[in-house]
Amino acid sequence: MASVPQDHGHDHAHDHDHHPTGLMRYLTTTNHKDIGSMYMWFSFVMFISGGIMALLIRAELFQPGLQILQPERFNQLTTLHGIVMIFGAIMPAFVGFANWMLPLQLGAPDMAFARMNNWSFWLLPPAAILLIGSFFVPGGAAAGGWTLYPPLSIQAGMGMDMMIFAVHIMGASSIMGSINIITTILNLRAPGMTMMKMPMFAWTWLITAFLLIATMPVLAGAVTMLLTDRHFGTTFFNAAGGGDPVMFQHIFWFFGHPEVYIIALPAFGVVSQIIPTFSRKPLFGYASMVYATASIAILSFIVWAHHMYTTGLPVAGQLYFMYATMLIAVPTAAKIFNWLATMWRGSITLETPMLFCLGFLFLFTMGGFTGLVLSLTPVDIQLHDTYYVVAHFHYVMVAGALFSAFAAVYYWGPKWTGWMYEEKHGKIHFWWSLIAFNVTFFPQHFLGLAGMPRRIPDYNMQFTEWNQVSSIGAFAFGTAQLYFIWIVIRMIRGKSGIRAAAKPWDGAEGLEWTVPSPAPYHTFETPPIVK
Amino acid sequence: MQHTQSNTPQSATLRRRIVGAAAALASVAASADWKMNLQTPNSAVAEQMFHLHTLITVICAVIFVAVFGVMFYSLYKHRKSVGHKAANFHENATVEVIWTVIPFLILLVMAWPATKAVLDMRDSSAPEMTIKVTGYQWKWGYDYIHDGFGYVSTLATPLAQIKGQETKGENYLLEVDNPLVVPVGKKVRVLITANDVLHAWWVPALGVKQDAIPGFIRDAWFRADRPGIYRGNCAELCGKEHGYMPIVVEVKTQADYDKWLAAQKDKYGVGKVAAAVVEVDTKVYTREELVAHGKTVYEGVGGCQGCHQPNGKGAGAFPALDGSKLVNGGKAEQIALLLNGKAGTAMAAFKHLSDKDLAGVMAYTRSSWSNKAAEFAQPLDFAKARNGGVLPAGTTTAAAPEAAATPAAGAAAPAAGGLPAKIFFATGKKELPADAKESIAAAIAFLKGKADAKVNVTGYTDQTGNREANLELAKERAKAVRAALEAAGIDTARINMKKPEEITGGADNKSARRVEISAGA
Repeated sequence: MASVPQDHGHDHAHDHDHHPTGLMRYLTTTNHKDIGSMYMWFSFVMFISGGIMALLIRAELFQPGLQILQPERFNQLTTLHGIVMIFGAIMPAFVGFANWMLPLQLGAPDMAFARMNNWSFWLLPPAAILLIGSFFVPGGAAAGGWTLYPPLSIQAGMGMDMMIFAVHIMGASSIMGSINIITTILNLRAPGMTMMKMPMFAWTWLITAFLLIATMPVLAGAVTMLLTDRHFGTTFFNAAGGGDPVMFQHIFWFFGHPEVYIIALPAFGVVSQIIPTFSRKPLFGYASMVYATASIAILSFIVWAHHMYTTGLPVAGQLYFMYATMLIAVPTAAKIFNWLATMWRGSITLETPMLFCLGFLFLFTMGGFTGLVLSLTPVDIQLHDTYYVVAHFHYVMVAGALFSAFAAVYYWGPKWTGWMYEEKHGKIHFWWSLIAFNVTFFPQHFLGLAGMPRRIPDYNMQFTEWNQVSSIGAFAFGTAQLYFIWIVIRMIRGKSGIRAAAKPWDGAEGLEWTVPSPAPYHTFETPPIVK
Repeated sequence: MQHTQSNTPQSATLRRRIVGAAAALASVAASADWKMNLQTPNSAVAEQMFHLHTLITVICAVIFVAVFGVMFYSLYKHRKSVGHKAANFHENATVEVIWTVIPFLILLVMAWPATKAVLDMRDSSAPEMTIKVTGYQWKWGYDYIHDGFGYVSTLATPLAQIKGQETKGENYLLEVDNPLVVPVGKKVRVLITANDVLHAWWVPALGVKQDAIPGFIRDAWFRADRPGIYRGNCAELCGKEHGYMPIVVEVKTQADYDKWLAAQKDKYGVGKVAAAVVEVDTKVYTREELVAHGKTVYEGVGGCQGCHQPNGKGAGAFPALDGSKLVNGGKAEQIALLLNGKAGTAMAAFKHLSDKDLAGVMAYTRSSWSNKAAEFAQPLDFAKARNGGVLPAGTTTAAAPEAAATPAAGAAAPAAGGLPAKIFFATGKKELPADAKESIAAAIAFLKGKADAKVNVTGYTDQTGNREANLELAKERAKAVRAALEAAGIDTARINMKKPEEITGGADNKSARRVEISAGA
């Protein structure tokens, strides 16, 4: 036999100091900083897309009657607004922060599975194309609400199938991202950094990643059952074939309720980093904060049916889910008190990141209280599926996630870009957002109480006044976010003229502030020692 | 949703409490609506919901002010700019225990009235009347199951108001053609289900919101305190016209209700000899007559154009009629589709419409746009299709009223010969098998035939397994049969539940697992 010829064909492009440039750099990158940045840009694009949908909805609701949208299109917009904001905007934003910051905070050279990291990100754009593209297929986008309840979702056209596949893809991306985060946190911490010395952001992400791994397959299962009911003659959710439409709701919310905390916990982590920095005082009750986060995560698995009080649960079920839901208030309150105690007798300054954290506290507490109101079954019977619920979850989601995401961008942005942002613009952005947010969503409590259902394109004249206030607020809030991206671009371009120091915040703690700003492409190739 | 309600004492108090700034806004525009609170309750359950909401909102507001008072004090006093030096404490077990225990105690205080309200709200036992509510895309069906009639309730707001071509009326989108009518002070149990997708039946003032689930029956109840008209909406997203299927409940005094009930019974022919009820329209119409009539139905309120569009081109999931094979094909398929709808799609059954309406729609769709089908149908064709392809007995005069929607309608009435009937169950199951319908229909036919007749219902099980569990199962099976009879409008008093004389039921296990219905005394 001839000898096997030696293969000289491999080049040395995988040499780690040499990487492609331009588009190929981003397509092939395994660098956590590149991937983190891509996640954030993707998130912002989706945030703007979802925001445009929201503004179309608010424009239609500015007055009674049908003006600019037909009901079917309206339903498509509410459905896609929800899915795009949750899966496209909020979750990728925090995965982006995790990618950028976890290796820096833990003293790791990169994420544990660098190639999988690339794949986790690049799954997202096809999912986004499926979602946005579904508006242009026959029958339009899915219109059954982001909760996809059957049998309505079984009636829908092919937009629903595109949504189902998008959910599958995004779920796979989330699971891979979570595996990566868990492995990084458990295995790549710098020597000396014990679990109980980790930054809170790492703790909240560790717990979040477990929530994701536990719940994403559940959602994937639920939408797969929808798919087979739609096309392959199964009857999981059809009573005529022995199925039950309500079973979908149980499965969906078994994913859906932990999902709320998947969004909220990393936000708690960001806030727990920023408040100590600007109070110049260590985080109060670090250990109890960790325990509270874990308790919230565990409780989140046993309260799902509080989204289903009106389906006709048995009395015992209604009582159990009411009590369990009320219980979540205890660890959540403990967190709020911990943050207050961190500020107490500190030496507080109010830079933009701190302002956004205070805005977060204020709005999230309000959303928490309305959550408590809704946890009471008899009250929820009146308020379920009304604008009160819309107001409630926007207080939780927008305040919980978006405000802390803004805080994170202002707080870590100098580390990413090497430039400070312009403080004056940051502060205007904060006040503009805070006021516009409240003008948009506070009146929706009143609308819900007075009896306006959610997901309707048209309403009785008695609801006109508050809807007009809300729509005006929404456009102001949307504009504020264009202002935000202008501020960020100016920061990237160094328009403030102030170079960021390695540690731009005098009260900040942590390994991320020991590397220069902007952070070099490769960091911690030799692990730092944590004492 | 009366317009005076924002001036009631409760809402005024709460308004002061919620948020000062917003309240100021509201008083500026006192004449406009600016409603900020729950509607004035008109039932004991709604009353409890109202007060529970007020209580928890006040508790939350107090805590909110206290917590953020502390925060703002800290922000004011502990700032670097006023020279405050940071302390360095970061733990205090006592404080942490206190702020865990106190919220817990507050929750207990809230849980108590909430639990009482839940128990009250869900106790639908001993109702004084029962009405079956069915959600359709996009209308509500109300069946007065003990009175033997029912009707459909659809939005009454004209399309021109929705499109802004006419001034909107006061009850824009909250008005229907046939409201649900109930007597004041009576405990009304509503059995709620749906025909196609999820809906939710919601009347805020009565404190009822219950999802309508296709294939399942859920119940809720209310007892209206005062007569009046109470309005609500479908609360569960149910497709395109989710925002256009309001609920209107008219609460009447007992005397008015009795008058209304008598008029309805008259209208729907309840209690009359079947032959005298509704006449079959045997007239032969010209195509032009039917097309002209059909156009009014197609384009009317709640008409076909809502989905299929005025130009017949359809929209999204709703297929085009223009050029449709079915519309241009043989008439039998279209008759069946119009009467029965199409399972798994938004196409609902329209058998509550009259034969003439349906024939009109059919002729109209077959003669409009590019459609030029040769065939069309007469009202008589629909009457036949409703009755299994033959004219009802004694035609030219009569047929059973379809709108009455009594489940027995259409079931040919065998004499008591149908009894005793046996219904066989699957091992360990108490749910009615699919083939139970015939036996149930036989029992119903028997009971309808004689006003004073009763039936005995007896459950049996096989002999395998625990004897007590078997007895319990037998009872449950019998109850399932009783429930089916009740759902068909049979008075509970006419159903005797008999214990089996012996628990054995023959050698064959399959034939042992059964419920027997026999003629009783």
